[in-house]
Amino acid sequence: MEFLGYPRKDGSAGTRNYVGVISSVACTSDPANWIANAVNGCAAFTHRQACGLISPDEEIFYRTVINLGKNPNLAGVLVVSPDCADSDPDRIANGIAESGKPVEVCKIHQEGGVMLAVSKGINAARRMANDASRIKREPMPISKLRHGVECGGSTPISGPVTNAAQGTALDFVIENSGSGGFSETTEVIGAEHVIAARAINDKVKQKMLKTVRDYEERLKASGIDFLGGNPDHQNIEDGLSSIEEKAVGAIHKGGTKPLTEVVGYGEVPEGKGMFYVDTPGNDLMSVTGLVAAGCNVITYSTECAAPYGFPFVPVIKITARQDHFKKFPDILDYLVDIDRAITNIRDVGQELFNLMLEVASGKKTQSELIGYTCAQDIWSIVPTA
Amino acid sequence: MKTKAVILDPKDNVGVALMDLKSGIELDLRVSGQAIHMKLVEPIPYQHKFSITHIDSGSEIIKDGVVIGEATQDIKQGQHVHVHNMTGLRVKATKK
Repeated sequence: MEFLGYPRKDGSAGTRNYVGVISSVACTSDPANWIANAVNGCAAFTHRQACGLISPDEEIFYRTVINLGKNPNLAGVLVVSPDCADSDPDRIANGIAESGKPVEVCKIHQEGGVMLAVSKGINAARRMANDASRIKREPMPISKLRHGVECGGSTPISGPVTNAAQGTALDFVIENSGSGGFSETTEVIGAEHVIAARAINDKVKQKMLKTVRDYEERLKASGIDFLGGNPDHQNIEDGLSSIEEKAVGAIHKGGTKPLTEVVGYGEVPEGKGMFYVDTPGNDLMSVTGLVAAGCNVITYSTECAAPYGFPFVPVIKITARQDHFKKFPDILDYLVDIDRAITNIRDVGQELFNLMLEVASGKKTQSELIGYTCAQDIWSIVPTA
Repeated sequence: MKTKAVILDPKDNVGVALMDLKSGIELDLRVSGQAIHMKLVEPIPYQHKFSITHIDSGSEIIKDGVVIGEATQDIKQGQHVHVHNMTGLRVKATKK
């Protein structure tokens, strides 16, 4: 079994072949977008971080943005930046360059202002896109597929239906020597013992439990009554009665394979099987964490039909709601039949896995077709100063 | 015919409605080869839970093979199980 992917120097495989235009700091988002919009084959990644970062956010930010740049779906990267003490674009560029891909930096203050920098950036991006366009898709083993699993909008049956469909597709990826995992620590609170029990050893188990405990402690320390607000009003109306019930549904998306690794936000797992990435439940930050972890295909169950897309990794959005699937054809990619999921989840998971291979090989998702790729952010845990 | 309700795991003491179900409706449920014939004594909205057995106050509520809370009152077979008669254990622990 294989998919058609773009070969990369570090041995990984892209499911897409973009030149990434990454803004080093929030204030250069506009020029980064202008450059990416001017050149075919570019994808911009912008965010609202990196000015005056305090530890541990500084480490989290730099490793995240570097590993985003290293994601196999980018053939090359242009870092757009000011030239000031609060932003270190060379640290980003040097980190990304370790992967062997071409990286250039465009510093606004060194080019004589924004317009001259954008002009120079467009030329650099055009050259890089030209080089990238020469790379051809070739057959790749599933071991080069890394599947990120996400959910947004829990209902009492999204667990055993849409999340189980994603989890089963992840099982297929892992059975074929691929890797993948899930995230969203706030969604795991209440069922961490279930996922920790699947750890390959005690070290991984303790790290999983500590990851959740630390998150809960941070929420408490900042005065947030997380358990008081979860399940929320919509969850309760839908029939979810406790945080445990919500979490049990959420962890279905992790499939049934052993938990091999737990990594921090922005870190890259070795990828020997199923892994967990510590992220918030916020989908924009969570998917960014999965992409930094090297995921080159994402599935995303959404019973609220979230209009979401990522700039350079395809996001396959799935639902069990027939009404939504009919009403929002440009948002949703795959409908899970509830009866079929309840009676034969392997069958549904296999179908979704096949769709993933098609998408990994070039078939566009709905969010890609309409260019819906603007929703993204990087997690910061220090209160804003 | 569409499945009306499901028991997700053999350990469960609640079932889940897969459509809006009226009070008085009779259900034939199966889990791991075991058949349960029962009657709903309350209307159960789509996706909500109902007890498939008598659950004593203070006993665990098990869905999908996992404890999701405990009953705050006696719950008869066929009754709606939700925030009015069960509580999560995490939230209960923080209220002590």
